Parts: sequence; structure tokens; C-alpha cells
Amino acid sequence: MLNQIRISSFYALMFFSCATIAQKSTLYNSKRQLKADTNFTLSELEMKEWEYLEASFMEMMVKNYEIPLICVENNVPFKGVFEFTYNGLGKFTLNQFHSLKLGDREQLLISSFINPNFEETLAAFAVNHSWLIERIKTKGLKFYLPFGFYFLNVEELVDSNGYLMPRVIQSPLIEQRR
Amino acid sequence: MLALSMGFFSHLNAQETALYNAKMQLKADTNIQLTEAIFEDWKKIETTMLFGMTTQFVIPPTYRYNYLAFRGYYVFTTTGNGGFYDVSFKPFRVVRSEQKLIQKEIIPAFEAYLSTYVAENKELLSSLKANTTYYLPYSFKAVKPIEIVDQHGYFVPVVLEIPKK
Repeated sequence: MLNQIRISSFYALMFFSCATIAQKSTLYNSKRQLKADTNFTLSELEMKEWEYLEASFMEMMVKNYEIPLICVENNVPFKGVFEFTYNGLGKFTLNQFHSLKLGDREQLLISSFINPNFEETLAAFAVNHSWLIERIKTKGLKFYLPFGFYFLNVEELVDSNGYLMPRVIQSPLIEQRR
Repeated sequence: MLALSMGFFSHLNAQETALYNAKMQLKADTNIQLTEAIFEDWKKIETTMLFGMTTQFVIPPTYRYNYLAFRGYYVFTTTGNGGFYDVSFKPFRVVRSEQKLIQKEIIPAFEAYLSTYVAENKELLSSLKANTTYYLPYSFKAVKPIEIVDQHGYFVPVVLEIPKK
């Protein structure tokens, strides 16, 4: 009986540990697979480093990634997975943008706007977060960032009390401080 | 009787907007009601004004980084030649200690935004009647990155549709 309790406690502890690990990432599951597409998996080391970077990366995408004006003006939503590599010396390189819809028009938008804007964001991230990434010395770490955008009418940001209420992303630094 | 009927029908004709109800009252504070003439002017600028407040208005750093309560409405008056003056902010809750921040950060942030808005919308604003006061209720909601991830696991920020001028 005591053994059973111990075993149950062990499994409970294991489950709790796994759940805790899984909670560290918003975009990856406990098997280190991208929730958006489980074909993309990180190694243990990549996952460990990604957990440090994820919140800051997401904040940076909201603040710095420039949604291509051509997409905004034509109401063209986009969705896909950015695959990029870290060179171990403070620089990220975009490998490719994996997208489901890949007609000629989408390819052109990706190569002309979606990818260059992401490369700019990667460069800005490397500069603004050098303190966060300079501790990563391993070369060739590969990461995946699922990203998309959709369009909203500004009136939809007015809350039920009649206030204009835009969403502001919480800074991960403030989250850590709390 | 005729006047009453006209008043009644004018209410029926008035269209609800994002910030004002069909009685031309501010939804955030129904004590504030516009006249029909002012309301017609306001309708010309409401969407572009809200769009700019979401994309260009810079939330004062004290509020942005501390997530302090920032709920209330801006009050501002038209000059009649495409500009605005007399900007003030009426907070939802009157907290004395916040008065200084309102003067130092909240009002200047809106004045800076208005100057950009004026520069970009000269033609539209020149048609507004002079010395009319407008009200713009404003707040912001801080969300965690996880709240921007959709049910399929994609990180999906919202992009606003460009309003038609």
C-alpha cells in the first residue's frame, strides 16, 4: 500500500515536472514539438535556449516586425513558420518561411516582404537583446517561430463600456520582475 | 409638436458609432451628449482618430511599463482651421496623486498624437466647425504573449484594417 502511494506520488511528481516543463514554452509542447506543426522539433539543448528567448522574441515580433503594407492594404492575412539558425556569435540567420499556401503570388510576397522584414527583426533582436543571447555559445542551433496576422476593424477594439481599448503586450522583463 | 416630432425623427436618423450611442451620447459617459451638427462632424473623423490612437499614439512610459490604471476620456476643441486646442483628460477615477502624471504625461502624449493626426488629415479637419468640443474615451489592456497565440499554436498579432477616409 505504502509502495503504491510512493509510486503514485512518484508519477504525480513526474507529471507535475512534465507539466512545469511544458508550461515554460507557449509555442512548443512537452515533447519539444511546435504546437502549430508537430513536424518541427527542437533538440533538448535548442529547447533549453529557446525557453530563455521565447517571451522576448514574441514581444519583439509584436513591437518590431513590420507587417508588409501591401498585405495591410489588400487585406491579405498570412500564416507560416519561420525557421532560423543561431551562429553562436550573436547572429541569427533566416533559413526559410514554411507556409501552407504557396502559389506564385504568395512566394513573391514571402521573398519580397515577409522574409526581409523578419530578417530585420532578427537583426534588431540580436542588437537589443545581446545581453540575453551572448551567453549562447553553441553554433547551429535551429529554432522555429510560427507567425501570422489577421485583420481587425478598429471599432472592434472599443470595449463594452465604450472605451477604446487597444491591446498592449506585457513586457517579459516586467513579468520576470513580478 | 412639430419641433418635438423633428427631434424624435432626428434621433431616429442619428446612427450609432463605436463611441456614441444612437442618442449621440458618449457610451462611456452618457452625461455627455453631442448636438446633431457636432455629431455629424465627429462621424467624419471617428474611425481615423481611433485608428491613429491604436497605431500611432504613444502610451506614456510610466503607464506603459507599470500598467497603471489609465482609463478616462480626452476632451479637445476644434480651432476651425484644421487644428485642435484646449486638450484635457478626465480620468475615470479621480486620484489626486495621478493629477501630476496626467499633466506631465497623459495630456502631452495626446497633444503629440493630435499634431501628427492634424498633419495627416488636413483636408478632412478643415471642414469641421470651429470651437466644438469632442470626447475620446481611452484605455489599454495589457496582455501576456500567450494570449496572442491562436488555438493552432500560431503567434498571431492583430493588424488593424486601414480606415477609408
